[in-house]
Order: sequence, then C-alpha cells, then structure tokens
Amino acid sequence: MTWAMWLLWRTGRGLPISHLPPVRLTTRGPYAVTRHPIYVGYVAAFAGAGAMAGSVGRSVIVATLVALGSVIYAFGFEEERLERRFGALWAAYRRTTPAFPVLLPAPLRAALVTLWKHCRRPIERIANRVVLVRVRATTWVTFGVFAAAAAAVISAWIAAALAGAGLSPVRIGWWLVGLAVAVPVGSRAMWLAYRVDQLRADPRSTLRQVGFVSWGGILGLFGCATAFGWLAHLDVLRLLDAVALAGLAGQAVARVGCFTYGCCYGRPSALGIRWTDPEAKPVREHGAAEIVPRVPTQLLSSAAAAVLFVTLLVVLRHGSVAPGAVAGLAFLGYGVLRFGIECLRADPRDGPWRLTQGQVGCVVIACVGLALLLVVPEAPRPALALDFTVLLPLAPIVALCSALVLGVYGFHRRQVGRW
Amino acid sequence: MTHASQAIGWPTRFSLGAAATVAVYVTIFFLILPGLLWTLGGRLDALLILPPAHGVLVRWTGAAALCLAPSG
Repeated sequence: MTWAMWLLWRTGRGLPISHLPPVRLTTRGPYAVTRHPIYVGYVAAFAGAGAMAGSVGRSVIVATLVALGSVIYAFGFEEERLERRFGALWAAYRRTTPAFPVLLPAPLRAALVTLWKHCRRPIERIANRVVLVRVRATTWVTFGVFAAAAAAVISAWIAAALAGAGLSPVRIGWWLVGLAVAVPVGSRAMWLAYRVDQLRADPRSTLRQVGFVSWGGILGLFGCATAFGWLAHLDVLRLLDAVALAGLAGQAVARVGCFTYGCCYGRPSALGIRWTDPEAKPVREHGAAEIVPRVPTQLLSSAAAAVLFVTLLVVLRHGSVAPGAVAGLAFLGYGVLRFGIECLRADPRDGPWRLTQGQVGCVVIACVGLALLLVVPEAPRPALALDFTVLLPLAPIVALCSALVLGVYGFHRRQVGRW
Repeated sequence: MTHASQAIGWPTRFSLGAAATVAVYVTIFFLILPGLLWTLGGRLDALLILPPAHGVLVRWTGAAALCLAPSG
C-alpha cells in the first residue's frame, strides 16, 4: 500500500486523491502484479491486524466485506473512468495485468468460462420460457410459479419459526395471510411510487397497468413482520432474524422467476444470456433487431441470496446469537452483494451520486443492516427453534398464500404485463 | 482511492485547499473507516459469539499479511 502510494507520487506525479491525481498511468512495482495494489494492501492490513488480534469478526467477516467493497468499486466505477481518462494506454495495461490476481487465478477463470459455455444453452431455454401456458384469453407467466414457490418457502420457514416461539397455528395462519397480502401490496405500491407523475396525470390507465418492484415486496415483508411481532408481544429482533433468513431463501427462488421474465436484465456481455422470446423484457424494450447476450444479473442475485442464506445458517448452527445480529448481517451482506450485481445491470445511473435506483435501495438496506449490528444489545440468546410439524395443519393456508401470489404475479390478461 | 482518484478529477497545483483535501481523505480512509470497521468486527465477535482465532499459524499469517500490506 505504502509502496504503491509512493510510486503514484514518484512516477505518476500525483496522489491517490481526486484533487491531486497522478497525471501518468503507473504500471511498475506492485502495479505490475495487480491493477489495484492499494485496495489489496488495505484488505491485507485489515485481515492481518484482525488475525493478530485473534478476532474472526475482523479478520474474516469484515475483511471479506472490505474486499467485496473494493472489488465492486474497482469494477463498477473506477475502471470505466480510467478507461475514459487513459484510453488505449489503460486498455493495454488491463490486458496484461490482472485486477485482483488472488481473486480468480487465470486457470480457474478459464475452467469456469468453459463450464459456463457448456451450461449456457439449457439455461437460455429457461430464460426464454416467459409464458408458462395460455388458456383462452388469459396468459400465465412462468415468473408467477417461482414467486409462488418463494411464497411457499417464506411462509413455511416463518410458520416454523413462529411455532417454535409458541404461537398457536390459528395465529400463525392469520400472520401468513397478512404476509401474502403485504408483499404484493408493497411491491405494487413501490412500482406506483416510481410513477407518481404518471399516476397523477392519468390515474385510471396507470392503475390498470401491471407492474411490481421487488424492493417494495421486501419492505412489505419486514414491515408486516415487525408490526405483527410488536402487536403479538414477540421478541421482534429474534423474529426479524427468522424473517431475514426466510427472505433470503425466498429471494434465491424468486429471482429465478425474474430470469424467466427477463426483467432486471444486465448489460451486454459476450458471455451472457440471449433472450429471444418476443415477450421477454429485453426483446420488448430493445426490439428483435437488438438481441444481444446480456449478463444474467437475476441469476447472480439468486446465487448471492443462496450463498448468504447458507452462510448465515452455518453461523446459527452453534445455537446462541444476539437477537437481530442475523438480520443485520443479512441486510448488510445482501445490500453489498446486490449493489455489486446492480453495477452489471443496464439501468440508467439517474439516482443520487450517479447511482441507479436499485443501488440506492441497496445502500439503504446495507445501512439498516449496519445500524442493526451496531445498536443491538450484546445479549446472546438461543435463536428461534424451527418447528416444522406445524406445517401439517397449516398446509392449506400455505397453499392458499402461494395461490394468491401465483394469481397476482402469474396471471396476465391478453398480453404479458409491461413491468 | 487509487486509480479512482486519477479518474475522478484532473491534476491541480498543490495548495492549502488541496492539503485540506488530503487531510480529509487521510482522516476518512485511514482513521474513521478502519475505526468503524474495527468496531464492527469486534461487535460481530460478541453478537455471534465467534470463537477467538487462536494458534501460532493464525498469528503468523496475520503478521505476514500485515508485513505484505505496505508493499501491496
């Protein structure tokens, strides 16, 4: 880190600071090994100091978050600016020097690319299955099936957690129905909030359009859980932990649905997925003439949610944690990971600080997670025990909730919704 | 922080204003941010009851990473 900064000063004639930037591209010393030696040094220093202090939280969890943040910033913001600034010089440097050599060594990268090329065709077939079935004038989209499956996973997990907290099946049933209403209402309300001007100008036709925003659904889920926990005199933080895990599992399933719909699609990439179905969103928005392979950002966020879910389950495996800690980590981790994935989306950067609207949502959710982790009391208690036996009497309610979600997200009239 | 700074702005002559900017950057990236992250890591140890990372190997790895950090 120090060597890299010194080199920037000596050969680049500047400092790693915006107001005194180097005027020449530095490619010697540590810059010949990695394009971002200061970030590598920063992470190494933090992880090393954490390990010396014997702290797993610092040396593993926080160091991983710092490394993730560095990778996201480098690839999502910094390198495109450097390309604009140094042009061909930067392009030549990028070809010869890896960004983060430790992150993905060349042989492993080549093996992953080969594997991906073998899997791509069958995955593309799933991507282009926008419409599941047409029955007379109605259309049922595949997205609805994944949304319903996610609702079933979330409902089952939360029901098991509430049963573990001692709630009766009747109260859990009411809770699940409330949840099944809150999630679609939240995602619909956020879609309308994004179109408030259109809603004012032409409320009738705006309300008739089908459209949802997943962030609203997440807000509905946690808003409903918090309100219910508070009204039922439950430990809200422990309930939030269970809901956060359920939300991650549901997100891992639901985002595959987004993939089949083509919404939330990524930037063009040679290694991407090609949506060719005329009803798929990239084709609807760009036309059949501009069908190009795109980054499957939906699958990436599904994988991120799945990895985070499994990691948090491992954390919970040893029993006692402070209530709210799992929810905090879930929010912070998902916010950071999703922020990085949003960099690969084709959305305009029209939000504050040149962020996309999705990235603003990620910043909010990550800050909520950070705040939770910094303020929840350090009083470990056993996590809510999961009692899955309650699912037998509640099976009809879980099925009803899933059917409701399937109807809301899956049923379209003559044509596929334009969201 | 590294190349980003090269990319964000254009070279300016050193001045008192620029020196203040350097001070702000140093404070944020070498005092406030590490302090916040260090606190967060400590909180995570306590909240998740993480076992302490004992052992000679861990300490030596940590020391090696710390030694490598200035050259990275």
